Amino acid sequence: MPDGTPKQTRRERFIRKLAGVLVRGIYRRVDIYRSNDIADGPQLSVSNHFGGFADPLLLIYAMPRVPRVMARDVIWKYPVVRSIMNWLGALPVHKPEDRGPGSNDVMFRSAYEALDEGSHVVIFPEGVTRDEPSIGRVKTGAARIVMGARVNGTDGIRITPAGIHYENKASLRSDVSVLIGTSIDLDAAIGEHVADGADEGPENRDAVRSLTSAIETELRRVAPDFADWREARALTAGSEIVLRTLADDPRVDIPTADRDTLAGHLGRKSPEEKAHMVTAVDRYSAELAGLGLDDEQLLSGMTGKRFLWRSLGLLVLALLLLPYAIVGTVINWIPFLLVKAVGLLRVAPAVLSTIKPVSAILFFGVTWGITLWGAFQEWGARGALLTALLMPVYLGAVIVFLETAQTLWSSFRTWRHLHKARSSEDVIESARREVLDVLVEAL
Amino acid sequence: MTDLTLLPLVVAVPLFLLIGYTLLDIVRRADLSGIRKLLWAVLVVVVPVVGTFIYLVARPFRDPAHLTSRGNERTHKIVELIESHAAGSISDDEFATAKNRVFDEADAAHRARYS
Repeated sequence: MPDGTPKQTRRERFIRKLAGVLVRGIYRRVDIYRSNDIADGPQLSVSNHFGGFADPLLLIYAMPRVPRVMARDVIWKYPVVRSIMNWLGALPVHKPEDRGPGSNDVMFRSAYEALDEGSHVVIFPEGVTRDEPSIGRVKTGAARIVMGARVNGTDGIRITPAGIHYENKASLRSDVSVLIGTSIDLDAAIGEHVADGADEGPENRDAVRSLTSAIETELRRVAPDFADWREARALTAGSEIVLRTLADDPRVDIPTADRDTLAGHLGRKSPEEKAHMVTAVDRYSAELAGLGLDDEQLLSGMTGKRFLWRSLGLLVLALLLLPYAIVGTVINWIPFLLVKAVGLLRVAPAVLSTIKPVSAILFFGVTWGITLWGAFQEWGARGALLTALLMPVYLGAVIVFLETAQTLWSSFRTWRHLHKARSSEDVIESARREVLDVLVEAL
Repeated sequence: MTDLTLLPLVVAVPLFLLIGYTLLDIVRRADLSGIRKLLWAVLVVVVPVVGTFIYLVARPFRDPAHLTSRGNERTHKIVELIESHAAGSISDDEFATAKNRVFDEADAAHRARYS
């Protein structure tokens, strides 16, 4: 393998490819940052859990080794879901509050077996999905699994923290970043958690507690961990401002992984420092909002002439795409509206982050299946293949067309506000200076 | 599709673009030997629809870490500094000096650009 990725079976390659196609359809941009490369051997990854279905999908995409995901056993009750979960090699976790048959002994035994085979297992140690931008109480399951597997004779277990950061988890075509931190080498670290001569197995509660808190610390390093949403938004926006200041060209896409690493770092500062930063960022954001601008537009100092050229380019692109976008709309308007309708449901964001992508896959999948079957009836196998090749192109055309139109509209609004920005330049620049001063000081 | 004048525009143009993209991808792939690249390219050219379809389905997944945008050196440099500072591999003073240097460099670059 050219990039040092571990060997994969045909099934694993297929799973990753499928996850890749889905993730790139569902999200606009996915940035992945891995601080260490993931090798072969038994590995337990622990991740934050903000979105039920989206989290495992993103981890399969982001991890170089296809993980076996531990999930609540209640979802095995549904026929099709059960087959999918079994095919993915997922491991059922029984939770007492779900009642019904099953026990945790089975889960522990299957997790030990998986690690002993050298598999990569993923667990969401908070147990449930969260809508707050912070890590909940980390349960002891992860520590008990690795310690149990170790005393059962599995050597070389690594525990790897993963943090998933959603820009907006309840919306399709948004940005997301996945940060994968440094692994804990269990064989090396076990001595720090177990008193001399004490039991090294999962029955040793002190050791389990100690290892759990070590895992929690590593998880907090990579996962979003803020006091509240206001702080999360302000520190993330502030980090982007800092990085944009450093970039050679303010118009570059700031890597979301770098931005989220920086925001996480700022989130670990004292409450007073954070309050100071949040106030500065909010003041600047309010100034920007008053002008209908964002930081990038302000910094790139869009002139009337540059605006014109840029808009012209976007307009030409939109016009070239228009015929294909129309074909794409004709094919896809029903699933598109159905997914929009699902988005209107009044449920928690963590639930939406499951049902929106799932319903999109389902509705688009069924529509494409019917279209292909129709093409097969009408034009035979070659026609169906041709249709299968072109349908993603048409859907892509719709997506790029819509996103181009959106950019065009927002740059038009910017242009209308440009003279206002010039007249209040001093106010807004001092607000930006203030953000930089406070944040850079705090770094 | 009764009106055949639209057919070339709606079908042929994207198909040609797709075939072009596929051929470019075959040429650029680092994990294929020259002879395999040639075989794939011949397949795509000789039976374009079937060949492209088979190639795109069979093509292995490329690790997405390559796609991650990296900003430029300075944006990433500050993140690296913060991480080594947090890990304790550089001292507070070293960190402060390095941090200020990064921001001063950015300042100088901006002045050079806009003056």
